[in-house]
Amino acid sequence: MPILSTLKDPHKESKLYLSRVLIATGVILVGTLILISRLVYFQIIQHHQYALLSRNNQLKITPIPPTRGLIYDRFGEVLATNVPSFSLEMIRHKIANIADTLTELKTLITITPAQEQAFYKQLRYTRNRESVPIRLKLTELEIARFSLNKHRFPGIEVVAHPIRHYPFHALFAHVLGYIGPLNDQDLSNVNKVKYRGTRHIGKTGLEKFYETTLHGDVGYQHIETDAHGHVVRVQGTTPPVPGNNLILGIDLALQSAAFKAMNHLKGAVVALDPQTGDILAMVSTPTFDPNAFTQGIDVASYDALQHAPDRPLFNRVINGLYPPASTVKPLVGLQGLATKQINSQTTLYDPGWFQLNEEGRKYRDWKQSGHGHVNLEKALAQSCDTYFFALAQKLGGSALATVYQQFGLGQMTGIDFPRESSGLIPTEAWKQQTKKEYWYPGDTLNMGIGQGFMLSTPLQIAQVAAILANRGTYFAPRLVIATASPDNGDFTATESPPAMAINQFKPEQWAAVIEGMRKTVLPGGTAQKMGQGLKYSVAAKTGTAQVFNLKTDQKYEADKLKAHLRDHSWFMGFAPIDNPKIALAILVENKYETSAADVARRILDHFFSDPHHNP
Amino acid sequence: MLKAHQQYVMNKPGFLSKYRLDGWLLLNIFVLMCVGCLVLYSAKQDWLLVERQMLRFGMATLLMIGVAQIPPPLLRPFAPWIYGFGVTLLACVLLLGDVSKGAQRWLNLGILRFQPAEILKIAVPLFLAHYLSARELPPKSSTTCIALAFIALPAFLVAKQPDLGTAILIGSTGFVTLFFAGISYRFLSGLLGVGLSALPILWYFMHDYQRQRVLTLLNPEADPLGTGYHIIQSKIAIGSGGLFGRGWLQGTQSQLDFLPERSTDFIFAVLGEEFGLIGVLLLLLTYLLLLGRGFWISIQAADSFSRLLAGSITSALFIYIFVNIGMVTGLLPVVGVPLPLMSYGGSSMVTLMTSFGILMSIATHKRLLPG
Repeated sequence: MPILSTLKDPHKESKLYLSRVLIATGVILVGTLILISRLVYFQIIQHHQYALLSRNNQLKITPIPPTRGLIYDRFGEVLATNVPSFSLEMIRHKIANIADTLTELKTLITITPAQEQAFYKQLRYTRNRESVPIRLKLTELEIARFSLNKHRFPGIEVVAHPIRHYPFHALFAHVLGYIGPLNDQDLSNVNKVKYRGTRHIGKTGLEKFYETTLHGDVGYQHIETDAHGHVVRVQGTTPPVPGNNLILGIDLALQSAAFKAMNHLKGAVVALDPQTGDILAMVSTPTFDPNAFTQGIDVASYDALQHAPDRPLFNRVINGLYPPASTVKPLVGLQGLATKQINSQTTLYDPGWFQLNEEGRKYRDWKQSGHGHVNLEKALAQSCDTYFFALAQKLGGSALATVYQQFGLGQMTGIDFPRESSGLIPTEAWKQQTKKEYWYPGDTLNMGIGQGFMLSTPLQIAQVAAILANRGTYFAPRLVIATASPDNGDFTATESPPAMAINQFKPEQWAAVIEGMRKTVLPGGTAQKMGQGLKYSVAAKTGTAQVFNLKTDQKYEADKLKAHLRDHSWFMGFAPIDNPKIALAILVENKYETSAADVARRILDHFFSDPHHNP
Repeated sequence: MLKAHQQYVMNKPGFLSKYRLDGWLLLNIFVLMCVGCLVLYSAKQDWLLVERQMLRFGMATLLMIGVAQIPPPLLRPFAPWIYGFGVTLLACVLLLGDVSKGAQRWLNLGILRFQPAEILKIAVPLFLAHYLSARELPPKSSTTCIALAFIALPAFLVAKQPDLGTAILIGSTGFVTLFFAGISYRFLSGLLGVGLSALPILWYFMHDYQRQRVLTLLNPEADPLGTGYHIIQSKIAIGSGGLFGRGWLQGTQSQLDFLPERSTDFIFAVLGEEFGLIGVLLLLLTYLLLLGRGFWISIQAADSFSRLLAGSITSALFIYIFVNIGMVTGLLPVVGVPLPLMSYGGSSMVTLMTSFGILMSIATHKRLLPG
């Protein structure tokens, strides 16, 4: 240092330094001015915009989903309700390591691989600050166990949600349908705004058809939150509008009786009030428990239901397509009377078969020995095929198609239910188009006894029964008879469907056919067993729908056939005859011992012993 | 030792001078500390935190007073040793440092965990002031080149940690010392040119997170929940403060947790939100007074070494302030530089108060006669 100091000039150095400090001061002042201008820009010029952003930051609008409407039977029994259920949920952005958290949770609460999978799937569709369910339907023990360890799991919460509950389980599965978790496809069909916060939607049945009525309208909560979404205070609430309740025309007791009567049978029961079109009972068996679907069913259980040979998920009332068989004979008879091809006394000899001409093929009656001399009444009571073969031939295929259409076959009834099947009335044009075949005279004969290509649903046959009961007047069948506001319980009856009428038949023509139907349940009739000891009058028509065609000389022996090849058994009718209160259609698939008529007897006996229906 | 001490006299006898303290510096530091604690409380509403910070202030003040007692000529011979020690520690950190938040910056000495990079913030100007003032001023080209190497070595080691922000701070502090030493403007512009043309190369060597920060600076809205979140939220906080601010403890950005890192690097945004432009300008004014006093002390300093050291330390303080506020207002990338005397944290406070101690020592140890 001392050596160098001789070279140094302190005065010059200090002058040099001073000039540099001045420059540095200048730089600092410029830098400070840059900062200040930046701050003035934010705090003065852009202040309003940032103030607004700051306000938006803290204010959030969260949707409050509405309570879903309940469903009642006609006497006020609850068929679908909401019960609280507790689920374990994760607020995603609060969790550092999702996999680790799940592993730790599993030490307390069972989480199956399928549930874990479902969780991850939903996680992908969920925004950061919303919660994702990990486990649904926690047991009380699980809730207690988690609560003790809650401090270990920030961001994991037990949340109470109302879930749909069907207290009668399988009994109303094919009426109510079920709700299930809302998915993207569902969302594209609804007003997304109204479904903010909603997690479930009607998937089938009335839950689907009346989705809009049941769902209600979303409410909002204006809340001030911190950066983590914690509620600091609630600033205002727009309450949700709960969904309306539905009141069905169905009578729980009758439905139960029908269900019991169908015990172990496959098939369908529809009971209508012919005077209103209200459906009193609607059963399709076998069935399933819709409660399994409300929280999302697992794949294995769903596959099992889907692929079960008995098809429990299949709604036979609405979508089951069967040949109407002999249940259409009253209609053919009516048309015969109206066109004067026959009168009530016209007699025909039945040797056990019908031939179009001398050398022609023999169309066999179901009774090999034949019915002998038959008039319309006897033909109906004994369901004589030969009689109706002959009448069908006289009327012709298009006249048959017309009368069937008038009675609602081959078209949807217009019931308040989703995805109704329309059935089929074959015509020449239809056969040309789909089968690329000509219409043979034999097709007309088959059509006359409701076989061949004809297909109809049990609901359609019930409607036929109702039309016969009312002698021509009818209403589209309906399940829901009223909606009720959940707030004040005010009922709004759903608009009654307009009465429709078939006018071309005269009262005596109706009477003649109905007399034949009355005799069906009397000794000698096809439903004589069912008619023994009846305390009320019944007009009915039975039917046997073939599942496969016997060869000409083959004999039908039910006990020698495989179960699924046995004939289906129909019952169609109404009671009492003079002032009908109930119209019925019953189909028993692959009938063995219990026929549709047997089922009908049990249902009617219940109906007429129930004081509700017999004041 | 005593003898050396007695070479110096106090310019004005009094309580402050007796303890080698500078009243102006002390007043400003005290004001900043108070404001710092006030804002810190608002940021976290946690008295414990404020108490810890006050305790640190107290201890750091004692350290400052201690440093102020060391006359610059006594400090000077230690400059190369401190520098060497710091560089060695940096090398150690690279080899055995704790990994915190993905970067090795901390050295764990059992009870004490600290960032050796902090030492270099003082060691580099100290050593350069020593090195340059021992030679002809303005420095010759060869001297300048060697000095640049002395700057580059620690800057490179810190950048390797990786802590690019601190590396740039250390580098620029050394550069400022060179500037005060009188390096020619031609050289200066040459260096700037080299520096600017090195930017693409720097980009190539940057870590992904560092690149992300630079990209975020250019367009914070591109990733509003990720890296852009800090800048967006801090802009909202500052902007919503307006002219008068929303009042102490009233800022929703700060109180409702929207503002991240608000007790440390982003504490300026809390101040901006709650005290508005007025509060921010008063803070800047206090800083400017502090800086002005620092330069005044440097001009009055006894020799070139003290002069260069005081000037560099003062300028470094401005660099920290500018980088921090620039970062919080979205002018510069988020590099993690605390706001002097305001941000919560110990490491940087120790460095700062040591600097102030050195400034006070320079201010109060003057030779009676020049030369």
